Amino acid sequence: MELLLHPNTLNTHLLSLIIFLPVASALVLAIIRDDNAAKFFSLLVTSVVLILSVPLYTRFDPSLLGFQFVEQHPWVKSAGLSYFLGIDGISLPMILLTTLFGPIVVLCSWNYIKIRVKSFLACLLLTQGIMVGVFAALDVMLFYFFFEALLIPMFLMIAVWGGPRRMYAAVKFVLYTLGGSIFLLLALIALYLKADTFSLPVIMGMSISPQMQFWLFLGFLAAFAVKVPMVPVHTWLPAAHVEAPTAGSVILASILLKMGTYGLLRFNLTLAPVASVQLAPVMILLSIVAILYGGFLALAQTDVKKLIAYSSVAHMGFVTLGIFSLGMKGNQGAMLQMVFHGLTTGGLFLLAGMLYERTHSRDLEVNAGMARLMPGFAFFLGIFSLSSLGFPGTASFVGEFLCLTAAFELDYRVGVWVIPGALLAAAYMFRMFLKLTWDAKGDKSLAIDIGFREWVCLGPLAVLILVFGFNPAPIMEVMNPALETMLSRLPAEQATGLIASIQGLVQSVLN
Amino acid sequence: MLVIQTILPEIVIGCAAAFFFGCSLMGVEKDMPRYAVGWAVLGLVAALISFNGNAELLHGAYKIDRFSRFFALCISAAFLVFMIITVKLEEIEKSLRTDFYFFITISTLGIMMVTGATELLTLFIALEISSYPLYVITSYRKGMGFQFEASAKYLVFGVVSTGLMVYGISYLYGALGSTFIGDMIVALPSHLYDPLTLVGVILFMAGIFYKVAAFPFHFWAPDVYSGAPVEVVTFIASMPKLAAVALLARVGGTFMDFEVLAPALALLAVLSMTAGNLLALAQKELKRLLAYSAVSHAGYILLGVLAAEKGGLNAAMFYGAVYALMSLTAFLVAVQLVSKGKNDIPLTDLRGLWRRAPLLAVVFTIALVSLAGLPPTAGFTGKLLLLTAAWKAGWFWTVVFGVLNSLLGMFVYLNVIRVSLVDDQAGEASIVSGPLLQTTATILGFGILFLGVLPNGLLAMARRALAALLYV
Repeated sequence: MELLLHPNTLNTHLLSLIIFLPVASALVLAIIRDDNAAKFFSLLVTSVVLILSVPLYTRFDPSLLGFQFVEQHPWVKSAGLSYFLGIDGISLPMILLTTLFGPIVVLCSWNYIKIRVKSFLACLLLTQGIMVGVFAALDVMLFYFFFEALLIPMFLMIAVWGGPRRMYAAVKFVLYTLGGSIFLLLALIALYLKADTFSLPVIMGMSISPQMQFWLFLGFLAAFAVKVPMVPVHTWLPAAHVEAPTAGSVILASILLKMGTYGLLRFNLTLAPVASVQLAPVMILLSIVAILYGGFLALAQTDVKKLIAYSSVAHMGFVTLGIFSLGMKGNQGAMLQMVFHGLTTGGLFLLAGMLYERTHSRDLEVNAGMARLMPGFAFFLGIFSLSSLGFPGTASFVGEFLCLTAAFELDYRVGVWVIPGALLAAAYMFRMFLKLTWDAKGDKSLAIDIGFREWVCLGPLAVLILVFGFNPAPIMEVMNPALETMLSRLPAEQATGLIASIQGLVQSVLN
Repeated sequence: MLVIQTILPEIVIGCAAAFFFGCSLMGVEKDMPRYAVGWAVLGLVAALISFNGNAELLHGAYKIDRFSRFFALCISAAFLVFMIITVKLEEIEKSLRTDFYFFITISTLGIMMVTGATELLTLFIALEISSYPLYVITSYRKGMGFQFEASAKYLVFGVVSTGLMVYGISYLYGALGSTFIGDMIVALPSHLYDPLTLVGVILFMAGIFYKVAAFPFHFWAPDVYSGAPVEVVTFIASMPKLAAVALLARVGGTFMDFEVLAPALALLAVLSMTAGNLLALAQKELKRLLAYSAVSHAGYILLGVLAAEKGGLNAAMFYGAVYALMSLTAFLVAVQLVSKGKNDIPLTDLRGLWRRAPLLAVVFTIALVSLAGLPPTAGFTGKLLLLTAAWKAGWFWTVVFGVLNSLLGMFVYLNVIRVSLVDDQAGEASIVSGPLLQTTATILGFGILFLGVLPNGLLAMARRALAALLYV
């Protein structure tokens, strides 16, 4: 298949600018003396980046196949590396999500971060640029560069500005992530030795033997399953979420987790289609486990952040379920769920952070009834928790519904197992919402309703959730052609049930 | 180009040694560090002037070509950085400082000669010139510590390994009929299964492994690193490694034609990486930790030799230069941390480094991240090149151990990063460092990032250097 690369007519270095403006600004922070000035500067930079990313959407032509806004320069020729950026309908929503959260995470840290403010902002700006790089890279080693470069700033963000058990959480985060991604590195080197290049479009055009695909799939999976996170490698997530400062939690939940599912789409499905079909039943099984297990764990939590963290495990289970249903509906649902989970859970973590700023506790009991005393807070809490449980009219409903439909279309038995997951979501979200809003307790002296800055943080997210809840078409239009191209690469025969496919698997490996 | 012009770096460093020797005889002690930096600058200039030099000296026993000039440039650059870092000479006995400079310069001269020697006896003499001064100055530490024990250990291990090497050389001469590397390479193919040659090669390589501190020849490293003055350790951790890489590139690649030896080398490489990292995990003292880190990095460099024909040597040379850079950067900080009357630098001394010296903390972190091998640092790029080459040469299992070790390494260095960037300790005074040191630190930090992102220049230089080697 010919993959087309379209340069951008507006500004040929737009993607580079979006990536490296924040990174360069992180250096500029070193010479700014005043903390407040540094905050305004960071807000300015992230806002500029957000504005710069708008043309990515307006000038994006969904009807074009292949990649757009392409930038390609030779980098290390002897090692087959090139500086190669470009976006398609899969990466565009992710990049916009990232740039949208740029100003929001700066704003939510405004008063939350009290020590080493400039260093914190530098970490934020670094992650901001690097994350866009992850989604925009078309050279797989460049992808790996960005993917791994994220570790240290995230580590510091958790380790320096986190909660009481921050060091445990930060080290666990780094080791889990790196432990997975070293296998990605092996897979990438294997690809390079076969293709003599790291360029994704070239590798996509290559035929890879099913056996190699199987090992590649596992290599990719090791890295991305940790990021998603899929059960049983999810245990870093609650620790990291709980201990990270608000901005860190938001970045983790809204963007970092999406790197995992983005990687599954971009690497597993695209580069190892045969293996994807083979292993899909296993992945679906793991997804169901994640949905149910995550749901039950969320139900048992008394810590607000932990509750949201486990709900993320369940929600990302829906995403992986959608992806490995290998159908159009499932993948549409997965993509939508990725975006909407980003908006919703990002919002919930912002709220949890605001609550913590007021009561200095994340415990449900301590915070019981607090939302009752803060109408503005309750308003947003309502929207975000409804969206989180997939209430019709909010964005997540669309994504979750599509994933469920895909599950039923695949096999009614899969669907039956997933339904309780959707119910559990309602149970744990309502439990939190009720406790925070309708409980008679609550300390009036601490209940200061959300201010202008916090409205600015939460407002856009709520608006987007409602808008997309009623009309997800703007995203669907962008991503549909890309998803179709990706799915058209999958081999025709579909999975035939778990046992049979595992048998087939063993056979193909033995061959 | 005149012959004298091509060996200008050797001449300059030699003159510097003579100068310090004279000063030492006449008892001049004033302004020595300044002279040292001055001479190092001259050395760097000389290396740049002679960079394209091409000459044969001593009837072909000493060759000036792209290869030796590449290393001369690396060595004189590292020498300059070293001189700037150690300008304070905090840990060196006051009355011995001039002598210290004399021995250090002589050793540098020896290291430079190692890279140019193309005959085994010349090579041997060059190696001795580079080693002996270090045995001496290891004991130059102020106060009563472990310096004499360290010095004795270094000497004994060193002498034994050189002994083995000379023994090996005698075997090789007996089997191949020449001590010129060029002639030996020609004669080698017909002796590939000759036990005498094999023993010779093994003994010879053992000498090199000692230099790079590869497992199981690493036992001297931790004790010497912790016992010697930090300035001497800075030197040992960076400069002789360059000589060792040159040696590996010049002879190792060819000697590894022995199919029997390749698996053994692979095993040593993997054991080095793993043992180095595992032992580093247990360390509570910075210098010892860096010693074990040197052991594990030697393992990675050996991978390059293993894949000599698939671009591995190029990667090993790149990594050697990068390692010297990372090591100097890490020690730049270590030197600043030395406190009077203490024998070591416990990791707890690093606490609150981010507040005491923000710039140094950032640069230190970059060096550690690079040692751990995470992008976008040079350490990652170097490892990537080495692993790719090893895989290309068919050593898949060593690659698996290589990546697993980078996880292990991350654990080691993350701990140090944690202490220096996250932990805080009230009451520690901030570290004052002069503008020269700050500039150097910044340049080194940027250098690590630069070589990580844009390794082209150095890689191309290394490739050209290697091309010169293949004419031999």
